[in-house]
Amino acid sequence: MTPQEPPNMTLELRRGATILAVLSQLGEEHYGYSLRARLAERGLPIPEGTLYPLLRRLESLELLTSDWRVVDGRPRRYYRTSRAGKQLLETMETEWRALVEAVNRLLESK
Amino acid sequence: MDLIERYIQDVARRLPRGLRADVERELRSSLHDELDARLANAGDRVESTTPDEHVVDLLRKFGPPAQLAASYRPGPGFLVGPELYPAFLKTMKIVSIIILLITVASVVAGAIGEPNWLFEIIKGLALSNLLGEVIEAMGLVVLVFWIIQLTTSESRKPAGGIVLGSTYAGDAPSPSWDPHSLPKRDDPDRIGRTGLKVEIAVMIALVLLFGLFPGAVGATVSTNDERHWVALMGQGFLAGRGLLYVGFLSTVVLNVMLLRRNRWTIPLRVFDLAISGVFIAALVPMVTGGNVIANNPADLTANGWSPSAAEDLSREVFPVLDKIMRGVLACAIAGIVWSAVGRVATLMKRVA
Repeated sequence: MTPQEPPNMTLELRRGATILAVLSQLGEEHYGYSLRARLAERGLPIPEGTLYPLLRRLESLELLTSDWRVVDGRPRRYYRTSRAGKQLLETMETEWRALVEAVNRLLESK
Repeated sequence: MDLIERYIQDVARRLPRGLRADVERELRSSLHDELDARLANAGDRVESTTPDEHVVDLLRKFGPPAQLAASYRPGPGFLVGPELYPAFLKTMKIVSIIILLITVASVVAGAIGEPNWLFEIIKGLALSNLLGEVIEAMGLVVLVFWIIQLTTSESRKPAGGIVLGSTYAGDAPSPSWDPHSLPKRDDPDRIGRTGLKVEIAVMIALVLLFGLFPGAVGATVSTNDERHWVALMGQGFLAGRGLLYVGFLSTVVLNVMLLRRNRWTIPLRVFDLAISGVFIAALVPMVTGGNVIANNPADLTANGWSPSAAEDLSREVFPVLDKIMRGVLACAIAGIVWSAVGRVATLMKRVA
């Protein structure tokens, strides 16, 4: 294992947060790379091989909508959170905040 | 850039057919976006020759094709994963062909020396349970690959759930995987000139046969004490002849155009699909309509059969032959549809 490679437990933590992060940023539409850049810029870099398949999976679950457009001569698929995605985001956000609060309390009292 | 296309091709061939075109298109777009950003960060001009190191590093970040394909596959589980999928398909094809050849060879061997050999071959094939044997063999192949998958494959081990898929790559590139080891690109527009020429000859021969000598399609059939010629093309077959001619002649025109251009083009692919439609339109009424095999005792007696033998053939043998022939034609339609689905996917890819 290289020093840069996060241990598996850290990856497990990231797994759950990734979906929440993606849904939170797709209130405005993005194509794959622009979303990855946006997430990295805001402190959550997601590996290429994870983000692009994840977008398609979320779309197949009807949590995202997408359409193809040619911009600057390049066809790109633009994603946006669907109505079901927004509902899930609300639920996940509530869960996340409660979880963070609870875990913070636990960590502070350790 | 060639490495990028080789990578896309290697990912796509590990995916179910229905997913391929769309994933290829999006992956190509994403890879070029990522590459542009890297080159811009490195201070290179995008228009200049792409440094190979950037592409290699980018592909390493995306991960080995089998791993990325596993992330794209729908559902949390599979019997045969992406790294084994190409070998699995190849094995399936080889096993099916071997069973087909063995069955045909044994039936033909059994019919050699029989006076009514053609009928014996057709009857032997009908009774051989070929389909059952192929299905049984395929089941065994699936079982073997499933066991290999369970015991050796990495892609199904980290169960990542339905949404995230089976992988969550770390930030570090995959140093053990070398993008230069990607298989060379297929050229889907390449043509096989010899095959096209042979097909032209076959199409012309069929037009001449069905058009000028319909009575020549038949066989010498023997019964206990008689041996005469039987013409096989019935009214149901003859009714679809017109469209068959259109299909045959259009195939000749298509092949001549392909030979002149030396490559597939989008209009030629559309033309090719239209020809498949013509063949289907010709064959469907044959399967559903009147007798495909001629079954007229009067014609038999005209060919020298005694009235009683003609009656026996007409009542007992020809209805069986007719059913077999309809089955063969139905299989031909299924084959054309199956092949057309693949060609539509290729066409969509080329249009995109």
